[in-house]
Amino acid sequence: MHVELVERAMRGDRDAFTSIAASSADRCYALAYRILRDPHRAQDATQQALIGAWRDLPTLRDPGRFDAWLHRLVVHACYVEARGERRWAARVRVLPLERDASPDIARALAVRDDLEAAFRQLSPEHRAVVVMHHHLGYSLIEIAETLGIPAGTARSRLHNAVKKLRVLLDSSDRADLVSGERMA
Amino acid sequence: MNPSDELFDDRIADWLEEDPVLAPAQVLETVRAALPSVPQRRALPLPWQLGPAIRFGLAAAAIVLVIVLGATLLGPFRGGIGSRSTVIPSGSPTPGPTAREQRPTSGLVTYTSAIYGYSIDYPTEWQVQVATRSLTAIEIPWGTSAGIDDFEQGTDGLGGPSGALFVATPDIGSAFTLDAWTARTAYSVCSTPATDEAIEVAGEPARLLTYPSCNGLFHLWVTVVQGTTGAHIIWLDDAGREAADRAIFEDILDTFSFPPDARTSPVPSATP
Repeated sequence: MHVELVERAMRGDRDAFTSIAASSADRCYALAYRILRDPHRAQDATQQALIGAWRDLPTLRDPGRFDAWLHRLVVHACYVEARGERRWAARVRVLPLERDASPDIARALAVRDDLEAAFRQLSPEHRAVVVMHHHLGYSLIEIAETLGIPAGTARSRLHNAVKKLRVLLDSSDRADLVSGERMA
Repeated sequence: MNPSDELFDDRIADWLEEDPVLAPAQVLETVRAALPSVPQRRALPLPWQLGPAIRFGLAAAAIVLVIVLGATLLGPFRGGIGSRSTVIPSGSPTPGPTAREQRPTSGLVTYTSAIYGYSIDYPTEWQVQVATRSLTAIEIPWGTSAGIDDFEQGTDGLGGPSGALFVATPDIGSAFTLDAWTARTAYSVCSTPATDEAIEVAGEPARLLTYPSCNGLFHLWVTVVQGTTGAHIIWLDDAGREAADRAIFEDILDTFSFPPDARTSPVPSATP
């Protein structure tokens, strides 16, 4: 992100901020979608983060850190969206994907399906560190700085999140195996 | 890290890679439309960012403040031995700010919603969390919904130190009377209110429902309908500040207006 553009937006230049938003929207949406797993909530979170960025931009201390700061706003907007999601979570269930296809495709779909179901069981805080580490490629230090949490917290969140994913996927694999044996 | 860990990490990364990467066009459209109605928060400049004249002024003000404070603290001794001084008994209550004093006092500023088109005044020191989509007709205006404009001083989403105001004016079609719409929304969330008053808002008949505690918070919930547009104007706060809440809420309510192009034919009211 051009620092000059950020500085202009900090002084209230709407055109400059619109340019920033245009070049950041896809990145923000991709991050929000991966955390929330829902296109509408990801859209809401992205919009809230960008509008919040405009509102709070004059308080940004270092324009060169704009991208990390915006990521933090997106993640926090996701937390807010996820809190609302919990209200309705009991009424929503994930439908299994169609597995009536060739064995390879069915297996790939099943893997995706299992990962999706397992990931949805993580807390928003755990989802955020997994996405930032495995999708954005952030180091633990970068995650900690971006989210404003201690590095030890970032490390333990990532460790616990991946551990929980493993447990959930292992139990899912075992269930699939048993189911496959019964069908055979 | 062992090979099994690396394989598992790759599996997660590959799965995340398959998710969408392009934001829908509405994201930018909504942000662009919202910007004119969202004031930027002004940051206080740091001392070394101020000009020399302002720095000198601040230094002079600090010196005056020290002198005044010193005089105040030393005041009781100024009369010397034998002079009378006021003693506050240790058991007496220390005067603290009243609920009213915690209320915004520096005036109101007008907000016009980019999504809905209504206008309302709110305290200048508050912030607005802007709606990014419209509520549907009978959708509940939860505090976490992206369909409400959320005005508040704090950032906890539940009123902060001085209450919060939620506003949404969805299109409710022509099927609802004011009473039926109120029953489907406010009554369905907070049940029967302690009081249900018939009032007028923006020249239209309205209902003002008072809930001492709904979901743990004091609520003043106004519903009003103009043509096919409904309006939720909701004040929330911790219990115990009802009188002050009502006063500021009424001030704000007086400033509410529907969009100029909203249909003006009144919808008849009927008992639910």
